[in-house]
Amino acid sequence: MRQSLLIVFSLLYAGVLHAQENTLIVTPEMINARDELALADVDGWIFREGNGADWADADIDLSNWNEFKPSELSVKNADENGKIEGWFRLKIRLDEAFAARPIFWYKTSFEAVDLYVDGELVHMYGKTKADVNGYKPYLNFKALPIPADLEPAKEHLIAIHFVESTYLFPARLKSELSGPWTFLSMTGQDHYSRLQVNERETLIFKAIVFSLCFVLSLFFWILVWHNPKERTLLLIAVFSSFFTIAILAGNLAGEQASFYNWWFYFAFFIFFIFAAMGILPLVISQIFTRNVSKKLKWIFFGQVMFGILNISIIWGKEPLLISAIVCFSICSYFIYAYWKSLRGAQWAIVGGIVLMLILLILTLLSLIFGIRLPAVSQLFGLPLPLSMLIYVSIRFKEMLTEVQINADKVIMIAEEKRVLLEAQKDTLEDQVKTRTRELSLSLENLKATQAQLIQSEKMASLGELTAGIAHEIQNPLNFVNNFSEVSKELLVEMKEELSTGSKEEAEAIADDLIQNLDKINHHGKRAASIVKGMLQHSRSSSGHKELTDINSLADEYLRLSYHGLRAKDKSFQADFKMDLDPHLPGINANSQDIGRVLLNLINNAFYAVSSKALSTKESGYKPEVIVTTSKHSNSVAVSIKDNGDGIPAEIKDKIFQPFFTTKPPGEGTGLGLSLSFEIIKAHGGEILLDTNEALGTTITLSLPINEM
Amino acid sequence: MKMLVVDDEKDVEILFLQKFRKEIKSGLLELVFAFSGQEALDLLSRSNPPEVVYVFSDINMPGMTGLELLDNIKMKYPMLTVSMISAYGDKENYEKAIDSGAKEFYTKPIDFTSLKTEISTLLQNT
Repeated sequence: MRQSLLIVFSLLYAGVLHAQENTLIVTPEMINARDELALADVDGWIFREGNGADWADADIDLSNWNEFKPSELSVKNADENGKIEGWFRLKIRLDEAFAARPIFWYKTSFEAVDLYVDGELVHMYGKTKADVNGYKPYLNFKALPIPADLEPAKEHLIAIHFVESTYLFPARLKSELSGPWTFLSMTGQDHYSRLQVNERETLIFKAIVFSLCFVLSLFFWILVWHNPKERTLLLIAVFSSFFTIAILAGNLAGEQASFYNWWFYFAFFIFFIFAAMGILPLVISQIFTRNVSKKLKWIFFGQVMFGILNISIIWGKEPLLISAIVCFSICSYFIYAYWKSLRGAQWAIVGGIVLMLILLILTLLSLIFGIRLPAVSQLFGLPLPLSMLIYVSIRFKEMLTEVQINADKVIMIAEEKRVLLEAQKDTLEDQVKTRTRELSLSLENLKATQAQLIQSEKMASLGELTAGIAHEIQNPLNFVNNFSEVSKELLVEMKEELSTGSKEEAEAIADDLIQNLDKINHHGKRAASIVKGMLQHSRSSSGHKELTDINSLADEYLRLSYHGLRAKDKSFQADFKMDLDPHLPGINANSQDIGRVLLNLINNAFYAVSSKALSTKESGYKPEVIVTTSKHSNSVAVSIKDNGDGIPAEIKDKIFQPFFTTKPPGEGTGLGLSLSFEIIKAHGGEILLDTNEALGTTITLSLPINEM
Repeated sequence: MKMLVVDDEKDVEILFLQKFRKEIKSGLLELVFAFSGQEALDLLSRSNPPEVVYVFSDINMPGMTGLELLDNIKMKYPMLTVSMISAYGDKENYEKAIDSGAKEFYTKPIDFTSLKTEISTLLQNT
């Protein structure tokens, strides 16, 4: 057992010894590859955790030191406070070739490091002070490499005291961001001058990228301001702004004026990278489909939350990678899905994304293979915002073209409409002509029909009168016959008287005879005037106006009506009265027309009273029609008053309408009152209606007295 | 004998006076005239019993018709002889008049010969 332990110890010792005896020979070839030799990953390092005052010295006991490379350092080595402190030692010998070429120390990682060469402190990167306040990580990555004062062909002992603490900044991120070459490297003269140039160029390119992105964002926002309804522009502007802020934050973080600002800008940079990657799919969706789905909006919020989570808790490259994969997957999906329908401006965006992707892959490859990218790689930030600018400009051109095409269409349509309208106008004119012809034809037909109707109305009212007329003619004829007969008898008597010589008696008879002849003449005229009136009534109106005695018209037609109705209907029972103003002046009127009106109104009045007489339960009802004439200042009035049932209110407005009748079918034409109304209107007069269901109806004709 | 002639045509008065000139002259007949039913009733009511013994009335009159007058007379003075005359010799009027107690029903124009015969019959009866 003891023996085996001894073997293990001796082996370990041998290993340690071997390690310590193993000197790193640095040849120009090793450096030439990148003009930089990353020391963290070379063999020959020994390590001891903790700190010792003499641990840089050449001849110390190395039994507690282990073979361990700086590149193997990880969070696991940290104590409970997240602090790692220890020493690395390495023996190094430069090739003779280095006599002619200078060599430099260069460090770009965060650990505070004290660099000793052959026990002498050469340079302090950050502060390794053990106490918390004294510790300061190394941040001045832009510092140029410092000359390594190493004698070629001679063995040198390099000792490194390093402290890394996580109390301010996650160690995980630091270690992960640090490549093997960042811990400490040796660089040649070329690299030195290249770095000098690189720094200047980087600054210029950064400035270019930032200013371009800034100007573009500003430009996009101005476009948004002027086109507030264009969602695409808004999304582009937001993306561009996130992107620009991320670039600004990244640039400022690189300037590490103080630790806290650096941390702040770095977090800012990370956040806006996430935000920009979150919004990019929305921009693509909007550009390709003119729509942003709710899902995409949730993905955007997810990305932003993920970014915040990363900054506050995770601090890793993985979330960034996941976010980038999500972002580009969605973008790729859209490009794939809409590949065939893509056109014009959309290709600009595809180009921008593809270029961006290629540059991203290049960057990743450079990280993996540890290649320092040239300063020009700063321009990687440009393709996307620029592609959006191109998109916007092409899109505007497309829109202008569309507007132009639409305007042309509108002009074309307007022209078509004009031609169409003209054609329609011609058609319409033709149609109007045809219709007018047809209408005037039917108007003529209508006029003829109307004339026929009026005539038949006249004949109908005449028919109603026939019996009355017969009676009215018969009466005077009877008198004519009777008086002529009695006159003959008187003449015989007179002859007898003359023969007997009684002259006085004969003279008395002669007087009677004269009176009789007057009566014969009177009744003959009476009959003649009735016949004349009947003929006039049936004849079409001549419109000729003459001096007309309204009283005699009223008298004549009242009688005609009465006797007509009486003759027609034996049960007809009514009284009539006349109250005629003896001083009524004659008026200038068409007597047959006025007579027709009077006949109509009187007939109606009799019809009303006889209807009431038949239907009323009122005892002692005396049907009566009173015709009154009266003179007014410049008109004469004829009132026809009946004590019938009056006209119901609901038909009051209709009674003057043509064809309106309350009589049973076949008994009235419904034209009487409408014709009466027309006739009175034509005479410049008016018809007044006063009706009451209890008292009956009074219709008053008012006719103007015209100058002859 | 006093006879009342009722007709709305006033010329009837002249005609009757001339037709019965001789009878009037001889004092056999006295004629009175009324131009409406109401007037006739007024005239009859002037003396009681009425002086008139024979009424000769037209049927077609405005206001009270001859038939109404007939009913009235027959109600008040059943003894009076009434004859009716109408321009319309229709059955309806005729039956109504006879039913109401009219002695004769004449149709216009008046047949004075038969009227005179009737009057002379009446004169003989008195």
